Amino acid sequence: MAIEMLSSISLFCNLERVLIGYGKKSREISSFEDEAQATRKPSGKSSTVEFEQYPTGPHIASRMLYMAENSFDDVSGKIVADFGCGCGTLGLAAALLGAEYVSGIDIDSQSLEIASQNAEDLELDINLIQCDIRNLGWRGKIVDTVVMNPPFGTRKKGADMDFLFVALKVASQAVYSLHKTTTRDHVKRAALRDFNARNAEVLCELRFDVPQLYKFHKKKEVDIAVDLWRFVP
Amino acid sequence: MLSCNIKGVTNGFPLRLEVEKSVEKEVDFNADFLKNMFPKIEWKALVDAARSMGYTELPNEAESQMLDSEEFLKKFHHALLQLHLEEGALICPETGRRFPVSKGIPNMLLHEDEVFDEVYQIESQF
Repeated sequence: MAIEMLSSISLFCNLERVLIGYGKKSREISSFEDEAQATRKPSGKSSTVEFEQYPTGPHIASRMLYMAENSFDDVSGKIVADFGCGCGTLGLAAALLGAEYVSGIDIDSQSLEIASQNAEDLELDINLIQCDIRNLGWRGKIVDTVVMNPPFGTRKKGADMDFLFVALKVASQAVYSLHKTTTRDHVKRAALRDFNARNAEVLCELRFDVPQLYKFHKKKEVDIAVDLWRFVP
Repeated sequence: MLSCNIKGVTNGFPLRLEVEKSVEKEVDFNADFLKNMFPKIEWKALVDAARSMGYTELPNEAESQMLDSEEFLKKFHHALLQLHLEEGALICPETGRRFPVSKGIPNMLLHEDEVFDEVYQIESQF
């Protein structure tokens, strides 16, 4: 038992270390966005604002995937999809923990290119698709587990719930997702009542550092409380 | 490969592959995974997809008892996991709509005027 716990802890540490190492890459995208914003005309609608992307930190990613694997057996040997994968943090963490097949889906081609590069650097295989999650043409429960850090819907109301809706349709086993703690009751109600989830459980509350990536952010860096959820479709 | 394949299978009318370049990747063989995957696959779509990439070893028909054969599993493994469409396109057989594949990443984004129909289509499938 003790040995098992120790090896679990070291697994967790390794995963986080690998992700931190490559987290440098995930920061690249934010600087890229700053640059993109700076060069865009103020009148023009910035597409990145529309997508509202926040990179998933290595700590949060390893917490999510570690729990999914060790407490629920939802990763190794499974088909895992990372919705709104960005530069691929969650999907790559799943691949590191032995997922048999990982698919990363994002709307943004630049994020996908970074994800592809990250996968290559880590020598992991991840299958990327450029697609709007809301129009994902998957029928039936084609994947075992969905992991995601959806847009919180600050700009586009309900964007995270659209992701959840689709995730619960395509996953047969579990959906792991992050939602703002302030929306907890709403998320639970929507999942159980509207999306027919069998179970919706907050595994833990995390702090999410949101750097000032977008102009609509008033403060330099905000620390927001998010819930790590596990849904059973 | 599976990405196009998933698309192909799950749209109900498999997407056709237009192959400019395909690649083979080395993937560890896992029989349990393949057995788990088999019922989720539309066999004919996989056969067609593999053929368009030049792999013709798959039998036209497949049944679950064939999963006991190591030889069959090896072929299934190769077609499903090791063959990848690197450059080309996925083509909707109904509308002829072309989804380009570049650097192994299919672009399934829809134009604004296509969104309504597609969403409706997805809804009607569930």
